[in-house]
Amino acid sequence: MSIQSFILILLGGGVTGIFGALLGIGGGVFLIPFLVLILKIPIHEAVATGIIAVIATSSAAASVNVERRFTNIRLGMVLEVATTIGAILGGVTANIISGQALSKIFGVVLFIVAVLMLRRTREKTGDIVPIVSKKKITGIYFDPAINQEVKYSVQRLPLGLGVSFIAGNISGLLGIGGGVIKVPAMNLFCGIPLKAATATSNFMIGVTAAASAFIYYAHDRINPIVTAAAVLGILLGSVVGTQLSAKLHSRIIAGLFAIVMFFLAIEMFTG
Amino acid sequence: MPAFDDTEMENLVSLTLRWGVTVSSVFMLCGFILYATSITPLSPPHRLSFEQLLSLLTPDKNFLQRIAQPNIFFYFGIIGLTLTPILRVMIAVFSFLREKDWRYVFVSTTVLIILLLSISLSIR
Repeated sequence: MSIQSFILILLGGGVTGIFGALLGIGGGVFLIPFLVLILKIPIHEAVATGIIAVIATSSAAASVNVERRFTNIRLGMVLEVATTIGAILGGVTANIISGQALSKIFGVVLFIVAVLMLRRTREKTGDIVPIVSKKKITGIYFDPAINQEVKYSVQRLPLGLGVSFIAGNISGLLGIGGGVIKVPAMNLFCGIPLKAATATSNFMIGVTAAASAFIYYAHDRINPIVTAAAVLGILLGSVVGTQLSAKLHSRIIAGLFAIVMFFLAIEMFTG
Repeated sequence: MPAFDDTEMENLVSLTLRWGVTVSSVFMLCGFILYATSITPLSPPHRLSFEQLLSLLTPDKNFLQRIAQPNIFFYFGIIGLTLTPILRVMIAVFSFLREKDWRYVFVSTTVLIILLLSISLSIR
């Protein structure tokens, strides 16, 4: 591979990192189609790259969120039991099936992610009213936006575990974080306020991805140059994206990118 | 539920994640510098197994010459990144043990066992 290709992947990683941070989703949903459709990298290698990139962005963002006390480490740990098992099964499955089948599954999931994102842009912004009950996992954090402490208890934990298992499965299979599925489920079904749900989901993503990373390594799917270039790019891009997200109207961007995702989904499905 | 030590755990977890990402990125960046300045470009990329990587780390007089390769630095960065979340689960186990929060010692140990099983089955 030439130095030009390295720089191209670095730039591609950077752009996907910016959009990932702007939209509040991991960059994997853009990075993998970029590697497959434009650079013609085999999908299994692209997914492995996505997994390592997801560990990098999740760990970088989680270090800030944990410090801000938005993350519920105890809840994260409980749900990680389900996500890691899901991720291992997903990783094993991905390495058994053909590239063509994997690409089709990626297309279908990307389509669903695009629908979820489009729906998010139409819904009114609003958070759940947290319920506090005894004998349940509780969390507390200080929300600077409303200048007060928010206390909540986790409702319907078995349902949360089920969704986490599916999210872990998707992560191991397709190299994307799965936060787009976990966050609404944790918020709407489990009664976790959005800030805590987002931070806790993101906190879990690194461990989830690490569970399947070694499976890809063992199957010789990790291309060191492609992965290093993409990781460096996506890390830099997410720093820039986080700075930009405070200034830009995320709803319009989310709507536009949902449309881009529909096209990418069709390309991945038919390609 | 004892909560007096949670802040300490949160700080330690945050620090681990930050340092893990930073050190791994520095390795990858060093790899990139070596790659960009290398006279013989890497084509096709050399893949290394765990055993090969470990054997390269045996210290002898050719040690520096042997590891000063872009690919080895890329691998160090990739493995460093992958081990970072595992290290933070280990810290959680240790912190819950110190807090004597047995339920979460059990939960975090379960996560750690799942992760270690995945590694051991992959590199067997």
